[in-house]
Order: sequence, then structure tokens, then C-alpha cells
Amino acid sequence: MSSDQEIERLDALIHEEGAFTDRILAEMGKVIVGQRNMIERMLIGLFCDGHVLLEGVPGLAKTLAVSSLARIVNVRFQRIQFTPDLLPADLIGTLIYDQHRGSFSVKKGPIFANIILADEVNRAPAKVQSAMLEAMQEHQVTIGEETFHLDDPFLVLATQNPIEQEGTYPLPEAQVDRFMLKVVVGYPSKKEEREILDRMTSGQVPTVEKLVAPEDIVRARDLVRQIYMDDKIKDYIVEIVLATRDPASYGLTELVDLIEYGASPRATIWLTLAAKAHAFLRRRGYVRPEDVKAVALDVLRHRIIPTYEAEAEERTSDYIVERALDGIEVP
Amino acid sequence: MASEHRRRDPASVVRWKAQTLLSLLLPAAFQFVSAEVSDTIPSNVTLMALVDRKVVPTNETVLLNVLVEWQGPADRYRFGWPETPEAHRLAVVGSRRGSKSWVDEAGEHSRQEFTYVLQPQEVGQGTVGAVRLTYWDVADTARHSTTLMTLPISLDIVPSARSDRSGPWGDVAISLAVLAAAGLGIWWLRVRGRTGRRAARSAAPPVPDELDGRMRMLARARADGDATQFYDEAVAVVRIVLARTLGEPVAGKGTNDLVGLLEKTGWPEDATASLRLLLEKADRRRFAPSRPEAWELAQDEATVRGVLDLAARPADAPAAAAEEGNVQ
Repeated sequence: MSSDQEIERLDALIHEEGAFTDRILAEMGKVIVGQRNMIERMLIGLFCDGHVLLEGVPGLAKTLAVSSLARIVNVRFQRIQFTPDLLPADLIGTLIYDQHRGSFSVKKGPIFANIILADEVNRAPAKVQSAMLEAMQEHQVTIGEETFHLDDPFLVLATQNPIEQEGTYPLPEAQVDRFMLKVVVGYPSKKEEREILDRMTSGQVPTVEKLVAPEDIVRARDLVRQIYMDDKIKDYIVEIVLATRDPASYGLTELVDLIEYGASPRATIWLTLAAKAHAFLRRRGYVRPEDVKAVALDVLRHRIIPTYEAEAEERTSDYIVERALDGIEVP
Repeated sequence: MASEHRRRDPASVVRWKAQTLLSLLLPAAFQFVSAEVSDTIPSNVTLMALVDRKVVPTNETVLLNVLVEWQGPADRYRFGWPETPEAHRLAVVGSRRGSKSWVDEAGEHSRQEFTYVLQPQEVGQGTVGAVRLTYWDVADTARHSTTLMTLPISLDIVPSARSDRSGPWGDVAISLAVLAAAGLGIWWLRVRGRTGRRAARSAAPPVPDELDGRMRMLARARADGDATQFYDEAVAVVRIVLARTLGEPVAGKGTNDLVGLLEKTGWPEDATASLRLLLEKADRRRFAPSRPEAWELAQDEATVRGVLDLAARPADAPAAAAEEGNVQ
């Protein structure tokens, strides 16, 4: 794609085909007050075929947001509460002996759905996490000797609680990297808090309607990949990622001692796709640097490993990404 | 010496020399016995390599300081680490990097400093090879890089018992060096007090050469009908003017941030409204293929020229530029 007319055609197409995103946001707004950032990131994950890790203290409507989204999109939804005694078979399924037939039959687990809510993913042991993360990566699971492909769309929205770390199994870095986005969910504002009070304590608790078909999501994914990205933006993305690996080369001397490992090439891929999806949500057929900046934190924060020195100075990966974004020249 | 080539203004040379010496002497208070300086000087960037002593015992280390200095803001040039110098009879055992910017009557200056710790390996004549540094001007979209190189530095490596500082004369040398550093420090503070450093935003600067160059490229891009180049230059001009007006770096800011900064300039509302529109339109022109009409480019060029008028105006002057129609 290169001509002016083609961008205009794409703009028009996105305006038409992307109209359902406004309906989703409006419907979500019935049950979720505020949290626009979290909802948009969930949609970005949906449009990019990438999984999302939501981190926040209990009571911030993470679970409600995921279940509402699944209902609006009209796809099969499963919620799995991760606990220390969960087994991989509880997740992916198992072989059951059928006495009448004298043979084993497959009993599929809850992972056979379109949208999975993996609640408190860090409470299950490593073997369960591995089973789920393998399914996330491969879009398939093997039970016994048979391999089953998972339905499309297949989206895992996992939640974890940053407090109460006792008795948890923190996800290893290599596995966290499988998540396209790590979204930190914050508290609502004073005004939002008041609205929550009004809405949830009087009259009937609102519910959401089925509005969007899975085919709409598949078409949107197609469009997101068509969105035009200029070479300058691509260079900008690469510079941001490289700056996390070799900050000194970008004049970010402050970060040299703070980064143990920088972002992987997977970050480059996801940052590109997430920026396109962000442009799609803004109904644009091309990507602006603002799109990249808007999603960079969510794409990069879990892919940068700070050093011990950084931890001692209470410099988080968020701080590192923000400094890198400030230091890299915007095209 | 680098400083002899660096500036033509003798007062600046003296100040700079003192500042360089102080940066080496005062913070670490290390035993400054002798130094060797070498450089290669292009137009605006100076590269220097210095060692903190000429004679080093085998059980001690020597510091190699590589200083890169230029006139202009810190983000004007982009540098990588200098190639680790080849050293004969010496091994590089550590390094660090620092940077600094300041303003005096000659304008804004910036410096990057790379320090290497060298450990002697054997007794004899040690040599620190040429230090090479590659940099490029961030304004140069083609990213033509320039490499600077220093001259080699030689020093004597002596057995640990035969240091030139051993014995009472070494202590005398140390004491003299500390006294000299203190004296230089007092002198420098007085000089600095007289020159009266000021904040970058304290006065509206005249339109400098960098902006002239940008405006020429912008006019050429308009004549060529190159919309992408035209809006690249237009945004660059707005960035430079905003950075100078507000005295804060804007390189890492996107369009939304720049639009937010317009509110802080105190410029007339119609001027900031026009600039807001220009910045928002520029993204469409720069990051997606487009063919704007010639009149549109002419109109936007006038808006950019209006920004220059606003920036050149004294801070307390009335908003004449916009009222006269310089800003669309």
C-alpha cells in the first residue's frame, strides 16, 4: 500500500467495519465504570490475537470486564480459578475410561473456549501454568495421543494480584513474555467511585447484550494487519526496543545499570501490532507515533528485567520504559 | 591542545580549560600529576582524551577520560560508546559514562564524558591507543555519521615500589595538587559568578542558524512538492522553538504532548490553535502517503514562520505577530 487513495479507502473501510468497537465500548460502559484503558487493551489483544495479563488488586472489576466482553462478543467463555491444587488435566482435559465400550474417551477441559479468564494465574503451580501457556502459544493441546486445535478466536485474559505473594508461583519471565500485553489496572477516580456507588447499589444491576459475532472479530483482525505503517514509525519501534537492550547507545546512560535484560524481538512484533490495533480503535488507516507511545508501556513492562540495583533503588520496569520513551526521539 | 582549537573567544577558552581541569581535579581529588591531551576537531564537536598521571605503579590504576563537547543542546548529536582503546601493557578494567549541559553567554553547551579505568599489566612504556568516537547529527535524516579520533598517549609503568609519588616527595606533590585544585575552584567560582549563568528560557533568543537551515529546507520541500519532507521540517521547527521557549527537552514528545505544551507558551490563542491544527495535520502528511495542494503548503509555511516571529519576540512584548496576521 502506498498511495493517498489507498489510505483513504482503508480509512473509510475502518470507519465502517470498526463501528462495532464503539458499540462494544458503550455496552461495556453499562457495567464497568471507567477503566477505559483496560477495556481498550483487552480489545487490542482480541484484534491482534494476543493474550493479555491484567494485574491489579482485588475488586477493580477485572473479572467482570472479561466476562462482559465475552458475553458481548458472543463467544464461548470459560473462567478458570487457578488454585495451588489445580492439575494440568483440570485445565486441558483428560482421558476417561468408558466401561461400556471398554476404551478411553477424551474429556475436554475448560480451555476449549474462545475467551478464557485465567483468574489469579499465579496461584497455580508451574506445571499448570506451563500447560496453559503452551496452549496459548501453540493454539493446540494434546490429550493422550491426540492433538486438538483450539477454536479461533482464542484469547486468554489472565489476572494476577500484586499483593499477597505468599503461597503463589510467580510466572517465570519466559512465560510472561507469551502475553502480548501486561495491563496494570488502577483504582477509579473519585467521580468514578461515586458513579460505581450509585449504579451498583440502587435498582437492578446492569447486564450486557450480545452485540458482536466472532466473524466481526476475525474481519477486524484482517483490517488491523492492513493498517499502513510508515518506515519512520517502524524505525521508531525498533529504536525503542533496542534502547532497552543497549541504553548507552541512545544516550540513556541513566538506564545502563538498571536493565539486566532488555525486550525480546517478540516485543518488536507485538508493539507493531498493538500500535496498529490502537490506530484501528481510533478509526485510522495509518499509525502515528502516538499509537506506539500509547501501547509501549503495556507491551514492554513485562519484557524488561531490571537489575538488583534497580530494585534497590525502587526503579521499576515502568520507570525504565518511560525514561526510554522520553529519551528516544519521536519521528 | 583541544581548547586552542575549540573556540575562538579567548575568554571561553580559559573558562572551558578551568572547567575541564576542575571536573578532573575536584570531584575525585585524585593525584593529578600530569595529563596528556589529544584531539581531532571538526566543526562543532570536540573530542579529548586525558590521563590522570604519566607515571603509574603496577599496583595502581590510571584513569583515561574521554570528553566530547559541543555547542548546542544535549540531544543535538547522538553518540555511541567510543571504541574501547587499544592499550599496550594496560588493560581496561572498568568504565562509566556521564553527561552535562550548561548555558553561558556564548549559548548552550553539552558534554559527554567516558571514563576508563586502566590497570597496568607489566613494567615499561605503556600506550593508550587512539580513541575513536562516531556520532551523528539528529537533525540529519540521512544519518551521515562522523568519526573523531584522538592521538595515542604514552605513560610510564613502574614497579609498585618505585612510584614517583612514593616517599615524602609524593605526599608533597599530592598536597600541592589539592591546594592547586582548591585555588582553581575559588577562581572558577568567581569567573562563573561574573559570567552569570542563566536558565535556557530566561531570554528569547534570536532565530539561530539551525532554524534558518530548517526553514530553507522547508521552503525547498514546498517548491519540490515534497509533502513528507515539508511537514518533517515544519514539525522540527516547532519542536526547536518550543524547546527554546519552554526550556525543556521535547525530543521524546509526540504530537499530543506538543499540543499540550503549546498551552504553556503563553502565545496568543489563535496562534496556538493554528499550530495545533498544523501538528495534527502533519501526522497525516508525514506518516501516510498524501498529496496536499500547493496552497495548503504555502498556508502552513506561513504558520511556521509565525512561530518564528513569536519565538523571536521578547517575552514581555505584546502579541503583535499574530495580530498582524503572521500566524494563520
